Amino acid sequence: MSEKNKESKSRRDFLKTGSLIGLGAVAAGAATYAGFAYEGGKGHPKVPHIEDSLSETEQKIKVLTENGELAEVDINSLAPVEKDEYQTAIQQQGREGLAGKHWTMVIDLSKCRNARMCMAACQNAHHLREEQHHINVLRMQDDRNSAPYFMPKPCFHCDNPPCTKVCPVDATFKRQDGIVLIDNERCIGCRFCIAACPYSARVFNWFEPKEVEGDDDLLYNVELNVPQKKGTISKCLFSADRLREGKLPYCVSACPNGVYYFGDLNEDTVTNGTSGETVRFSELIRDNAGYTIMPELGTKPRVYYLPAKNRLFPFQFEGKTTLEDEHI
Amino acid sequence: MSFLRFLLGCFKIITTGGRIYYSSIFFLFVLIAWGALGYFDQLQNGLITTNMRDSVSWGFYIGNFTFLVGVAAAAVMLVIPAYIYNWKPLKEIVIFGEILAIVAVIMCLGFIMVDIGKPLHFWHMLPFVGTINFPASILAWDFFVLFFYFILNIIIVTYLLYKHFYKKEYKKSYILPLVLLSIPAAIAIHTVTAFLFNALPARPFWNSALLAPRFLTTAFCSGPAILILLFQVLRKHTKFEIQDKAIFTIAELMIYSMAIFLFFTISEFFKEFYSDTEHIVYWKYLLFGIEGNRAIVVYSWASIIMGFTAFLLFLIPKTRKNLKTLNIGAVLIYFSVYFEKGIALIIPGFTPDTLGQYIFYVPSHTEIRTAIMIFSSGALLFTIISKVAIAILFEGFSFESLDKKVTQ
Repeated sequence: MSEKNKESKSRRDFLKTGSLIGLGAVAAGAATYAGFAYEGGKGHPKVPHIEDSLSETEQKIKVLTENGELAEVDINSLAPVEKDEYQTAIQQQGREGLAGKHWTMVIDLSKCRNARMCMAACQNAHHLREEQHHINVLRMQDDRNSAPYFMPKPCFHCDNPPCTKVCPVDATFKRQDGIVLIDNERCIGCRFCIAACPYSARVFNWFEPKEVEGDDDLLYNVELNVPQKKGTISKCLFSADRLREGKLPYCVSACPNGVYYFGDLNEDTVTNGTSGETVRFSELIRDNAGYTIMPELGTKPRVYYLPAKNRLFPFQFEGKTTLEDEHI
Repeated sequence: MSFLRFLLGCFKIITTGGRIYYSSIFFLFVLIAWGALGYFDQLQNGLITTNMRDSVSWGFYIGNFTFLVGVAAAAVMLVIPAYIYNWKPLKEIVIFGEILAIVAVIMCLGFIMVDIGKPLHFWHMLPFVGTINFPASILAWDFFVLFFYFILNIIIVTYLLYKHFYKKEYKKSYILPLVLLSIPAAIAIHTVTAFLFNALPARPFWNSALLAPRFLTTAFCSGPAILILLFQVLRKHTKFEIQDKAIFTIAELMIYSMAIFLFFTISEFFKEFYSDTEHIVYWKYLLFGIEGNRAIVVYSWASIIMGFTAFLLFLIPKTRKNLKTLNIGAVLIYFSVYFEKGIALIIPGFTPDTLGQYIFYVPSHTEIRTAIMIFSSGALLFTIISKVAIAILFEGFSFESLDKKVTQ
């Protein structure tokens, strides 16, 4: 856990400065376009004049343009990005999402034993209070005669999301890579999306969010939803910030029991967060009778479940092996 | 210039009044201040001071909002007969229905503002400057129709009073198109408000095509009920004139609404209870309580019993044409609809929530104080605007009386 903390913290430090610190990464060959701007105007690389480069330093630097091309420019033609400008750039890339991806998650119910590492990792990353859940492990029992089981439930990032269309200010939206996000700087807190979500995926910041050190200096990132804002909605983000870095979501990599698979529908592959094993998504769903929750509502969830069959661990909760619920 | 003088005249009317006028204004201000202190607590500590939570994410505020949209829509109840059929006794008093509509829309906005978590972000809703999600979001539609209805009524009321102030006849060709337009607008505001709840497959309790028709019929009971009572109070204490015949005509229109509402409700009950699916759980919570919790059962049955008694009082000609029993009926139907919209509509929709959890909600202290703040502000506004209307329409206040007082 502590290692993970450090990792995300260093990233936040990077966001905080919001300036040319990204150049260090550029030198290492992993350039990021959001971290700099050209003097000539945003987005259009100005090729430095020959006179300029002769009269001043000869130091050249390789950077990645917005179009994904590698350009070589004079180091003097780069200027630090203003905080506002940087915030806009983060906001914009957060709204657009990663091109060519269609993220999906598979949850294997037969492996879940209520370790709750996923919940802890998520709450830690997104600065949530103990009672706030982007992902929650529920206790389920489908019938009086069937055995109970544990069911982790994140946001399903539906392909036909009922929550985004009701939002009066377009604060919650679906990106091209399939992730449904919420912009807390735009959210008015009307909670229409909570009423519209059939899966209780959304939480509201009813009170002042949990105090996390350094939150005050943080630039708001729509892909991480921190700092949390009182009076606005918060929800599971499929860890969009981690996906941008090419990593698996916080919950997926925190699971000790191999419950989660995460991957790209377009590539038809999903990777198990615990074992690191990559399998064909279509085969996994086909061979294990995968299903989605309440498909009759037409929401087209992007989170699949594998049935809680031949479970690896017996159900046990507060010393009991069954649920006592009169409504089953 | 002449409009400025009109405003000056209005100001003069507002600031001069008898002891009853001043004491009621003072009383309302005290109530507003008391409620505002409760709301201040919510502003500081967040919506945690309400009893709403993630499971029951809308409550008393949205219930009041819905109820008041109905009251606003009911102005049309008086407009249709008065203007279309040219019924003489109703014509002058239609203006009070429209004043009520204006005040109700303002109160609606008030309840939305106290309900949202970030009132300072509300400007995002505004067209052009904000990022309003039109036409996808029904809330955006609601914003537009309410705004349109509000402007329409403001124009009609101001124009009629303005003309009367200068002792001129109003031009029917100006006013009639606006009045005709306000009829579909009134139906639209309540229909769209019903649609807010209606098409959420996540909430089966509201997912019935009868929701919008039921909204309209209840609105056409509660709005006129307030007016029947108000007219009698005004008639007693001011020079406002209204014949009994006009009041009985309004009552007659209300009985149609009540009958249709009763029919719709029976249809809804039949469908839910006879099919007996899992979705019946919301109705069971509303009518009988679940897991020993009967917090809202008393309201739902009070609403049913009061509504039914009012129906009988209005239905029998003898009691309908007796002012005493009619007034009892009007009070009963008003509170019946208030409980039905304020409590019985919103809360069961969230109990149980989509995960099947039961979180039992009743309004908190803060919510009730905030609601009192908004209702008292509405009453204050209505008192002031009605005073202007009465003075100009019935007490002969005009530009001449303004001149007189200025020269004195």
